[in-house]
Amino acid sequence: MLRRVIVVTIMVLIALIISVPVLGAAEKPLQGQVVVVCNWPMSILDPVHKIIKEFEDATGARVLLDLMGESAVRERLTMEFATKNPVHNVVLLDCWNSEELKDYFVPLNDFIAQKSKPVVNGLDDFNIQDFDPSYVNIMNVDGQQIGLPYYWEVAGLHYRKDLFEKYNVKVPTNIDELLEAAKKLTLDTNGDGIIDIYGIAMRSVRGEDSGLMCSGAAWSFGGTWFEGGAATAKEIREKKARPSVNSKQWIDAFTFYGNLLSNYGPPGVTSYSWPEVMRDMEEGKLAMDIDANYFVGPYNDPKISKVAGKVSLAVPPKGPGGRVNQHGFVCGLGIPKGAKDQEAAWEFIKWYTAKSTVARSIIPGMRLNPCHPALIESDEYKKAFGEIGDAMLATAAAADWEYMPRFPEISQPTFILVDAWSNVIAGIKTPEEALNEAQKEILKVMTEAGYYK
Amino acid sequence: MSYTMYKRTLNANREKVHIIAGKRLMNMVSMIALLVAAIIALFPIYWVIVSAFKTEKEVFIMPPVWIFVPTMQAFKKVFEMSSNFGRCMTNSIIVTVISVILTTIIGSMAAYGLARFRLKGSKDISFYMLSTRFAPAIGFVIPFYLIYMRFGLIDTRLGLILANITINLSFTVWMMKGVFEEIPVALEEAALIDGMPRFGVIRTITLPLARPGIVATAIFSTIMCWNEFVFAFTLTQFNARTLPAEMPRFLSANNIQWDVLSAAGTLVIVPMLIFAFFVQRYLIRGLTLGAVKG
Amino acid sequence: MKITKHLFPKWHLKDKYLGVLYVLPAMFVLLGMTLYPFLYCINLSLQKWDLFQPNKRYYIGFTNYISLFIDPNFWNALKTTIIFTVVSVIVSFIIGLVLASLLAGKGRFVGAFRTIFVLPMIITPIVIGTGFKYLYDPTSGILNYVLSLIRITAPAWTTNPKTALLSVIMVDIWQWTPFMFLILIAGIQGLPKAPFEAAACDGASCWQILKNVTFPLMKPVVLIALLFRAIDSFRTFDTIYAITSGGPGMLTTTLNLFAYIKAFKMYRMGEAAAVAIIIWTIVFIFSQLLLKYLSTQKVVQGK
Repeated sequence: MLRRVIVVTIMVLIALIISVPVLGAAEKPLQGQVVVVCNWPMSILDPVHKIIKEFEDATGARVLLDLMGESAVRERLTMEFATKNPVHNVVLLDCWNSEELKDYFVPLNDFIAQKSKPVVNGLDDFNIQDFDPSYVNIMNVDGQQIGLPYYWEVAGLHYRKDLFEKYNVKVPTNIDELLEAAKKLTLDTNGDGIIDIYGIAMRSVRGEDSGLMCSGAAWSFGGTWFEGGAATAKEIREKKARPSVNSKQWIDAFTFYGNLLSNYGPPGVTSYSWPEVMRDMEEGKLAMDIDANYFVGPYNDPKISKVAGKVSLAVPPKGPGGRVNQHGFVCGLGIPKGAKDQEAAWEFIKWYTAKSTVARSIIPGMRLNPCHPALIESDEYKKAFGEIGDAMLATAAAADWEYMPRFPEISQPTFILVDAWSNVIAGIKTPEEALNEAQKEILKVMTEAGYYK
Repeated sequence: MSYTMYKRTLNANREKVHIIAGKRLMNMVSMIALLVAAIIALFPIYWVIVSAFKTEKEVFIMPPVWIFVPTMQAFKKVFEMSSNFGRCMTNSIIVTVISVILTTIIGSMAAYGLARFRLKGSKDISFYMLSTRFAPAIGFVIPFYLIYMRFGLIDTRLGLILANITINLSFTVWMMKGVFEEIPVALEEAALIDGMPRFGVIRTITLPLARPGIVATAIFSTIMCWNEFVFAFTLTQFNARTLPAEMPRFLSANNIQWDVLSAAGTLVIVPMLIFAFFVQRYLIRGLTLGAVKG
Repeated sequence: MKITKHLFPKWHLKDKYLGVLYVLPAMFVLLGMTLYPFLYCINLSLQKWDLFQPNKRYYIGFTNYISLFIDPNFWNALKTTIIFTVVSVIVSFIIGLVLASLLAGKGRFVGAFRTIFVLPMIITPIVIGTGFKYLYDPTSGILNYVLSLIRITAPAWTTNPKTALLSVIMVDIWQWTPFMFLILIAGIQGLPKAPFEAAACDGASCWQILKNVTFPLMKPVVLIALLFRAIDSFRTFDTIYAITSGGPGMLTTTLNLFAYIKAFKMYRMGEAAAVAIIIWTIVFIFSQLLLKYLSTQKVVQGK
């Protein structure tokens, strides 16, 4: 009897000893944590979203993607920031108002320093050095890294090379040529009296999207937001730089583009945001557009575009100031303060932006704009995208990130300027009127904020 | 007057409208006017539903494609883009049904109290109830979010039900007050004197007479609850999300896919359309019985 | 014959407190759910709180209101809202009245037509918003295509400054005429027979009957319909936002959208709350006036 007891006890002990590592291994590093992502969908990110399951399986965390329209996302986030009670723990961070929202994000400096190793071996190869430093720096405010970039765009001129060849039009390199090209290519192609192809379209709708447009347009004419080109809060304060949005350069820019778009743009252009511009181009209704350079990918994707293979990308035309129309924009992901499961959130961001993960979406998603220079310069990229890839690099080189200043109160002046832009293009106000009003209002905002004390 | 006599006069009232309206439907001009109005009323709805069955390319073509082979590809994409959609549908149904039941009960009780009992400040109370309708949604959104966060009501069906009740009580109380005021007190009085307990009176006399009004008000509430967007969007994420609140998910991508948008919209509105088809009759009948007198 | 007198018979006095019990659940819910938000809103409207400066949040009294009153955009929004509400309510009333008078009686197709005219009200506003945006689109929308068939070159409805406000008003009318229609039908059906018989006996013409008998009797119904519709129309948000986002410029920005812009685009929460309170106040004053007028009407009618 006693022998039996001893044997059974030994067997149980052996079983326990064997099972402990097995049980230990079954406990995944982020088990039980939930990552709730709030962002807007982009077709270039779809391949990454399809492989999120790998992340979940490896780490044991659950990922919930809450994707909705851009303005819905921003509303949602505004509310969560306002109530300091975020439901989402991975959220969109736009570059142009990163200063504004810096107090609402958890600084990632410590995470990057300590936790760069993947939480599960082989899961990702995150290394902060892989990123293009200029994009990383944009998400760095006063030394706090509040987000990691996953997307960048700069202005590009998209044009239908078949139309340009057919009608023997030169690809514009300055604004006079731009106007001519737009005029020549606003056509009625089937003789029924209705114009089928419009020369050019650009975003003009009220809202933050067009803020980049109008600033970039003014920049190309030599205009700046503030006197002397002050571009950071510190500079503005030190130089007491007043707004200069009603300077001759701004008025000229608005006049030119107002003219261009109202005469040679599609009828509804004052309500166009980027989805509408893209749609028109993909439908074959536009000869040109000036918008995010990476659009050339979707434009040539036969699954989406009717004019696949016919759209080329060029550096936008130079304005009289000798500068190129700008529209640089970087998107990133950050963790809002007060969010739950921050560890899992960080691991997700790491995995999402890591070079190996991004690499897997380049060809299937036509993702022309990874934030990792190594990927753009790789042979695969060159082989897959060839000429377009070169154009992307050219536009990136022509980019000038100073075109928009960065300071905390930026939302209001942006909105005021976009209002002016929208009014001018719709023909409701003259450029002088609109910009003089804008100047007054922006001056009021800046004075209230105490910049000129 | 007795209960049955009262019912007879009600029925008689429905017959008399010829004299008042003074027109007959078969008049040619009015027929044409009605047809034109009907086309205007129906066309946008028709267009949304039809677009849901087109392909991505067909949905954009001008001149539009009138005859085409219907496909379900847009619907498939809806469920691909939103894995939550099925749950949203059940949430919509559950939240609407419970909200309407509770609103109708609570609202009718309050309306009865205001109609039958001489309360001090009953006028103020009924105006207060109306005033809950005055505030714009934006005034409510942030405070509600804060309260709900504190009580853990975010993304719960209970939270949505509470919000729906709050929104719909004003209309319910005002409508039902008129209904109850139309029912002659003498009928209740007679029964009470005969010794029936108060609640019995309500159950056997008042409620049956008020039933058309209750049904009509409940129908309105159902429509309002099903279509409610602002609170549903702000106060839910995944678990308790309802159909209208899921719509913004389809509103932005590289290319606005009208077919998918229409498909999602169709799924949101079709239950209500079916509902309306069956209950339209009760709506008018209920409103007639004095509900509108306020 | 309808009994329209309202009695408070003696036996009810004993149960004075029972009445409170009936009203209690509703008041409990409403007070609980609306009091805090209302106070929060008033409180917020007296503060300066810009979202991007979370640590600088302090009281400034009525400054928000003052800065609104000197802001031309505010008055613009107010004007737009008033135009929107007045036109929408009146036109939907007229259309609703015509339709109701045609369909209040019996007839072969009455049921079918009534169902059809109820439908626009039932469609979810956000679906309507996006649907009409699609319909109005100048290049791929069907409205302009149909108009071009009958040789009318239609403008770009939602982006042309001249037609933008009109386009959103039309949507509001389309959506809410059923509401007027239903209430007016119910009102017509509820009219007492006697005055009409008397007028017919006296040999009054159709128009005279309409003017001297129908209209006065319908007034309470009409006023209630107008009240609810005006309150709701004043606060419209979803459809306008979906179709024009308040543009072009500020041409379709109603007060409600103005508050939204202040909060979610300019991040000025204090001012947004002030706009919300102003909206609330305007609606409050308007309803008070209308209801006072309504109760005098009741007295005149000999209730």
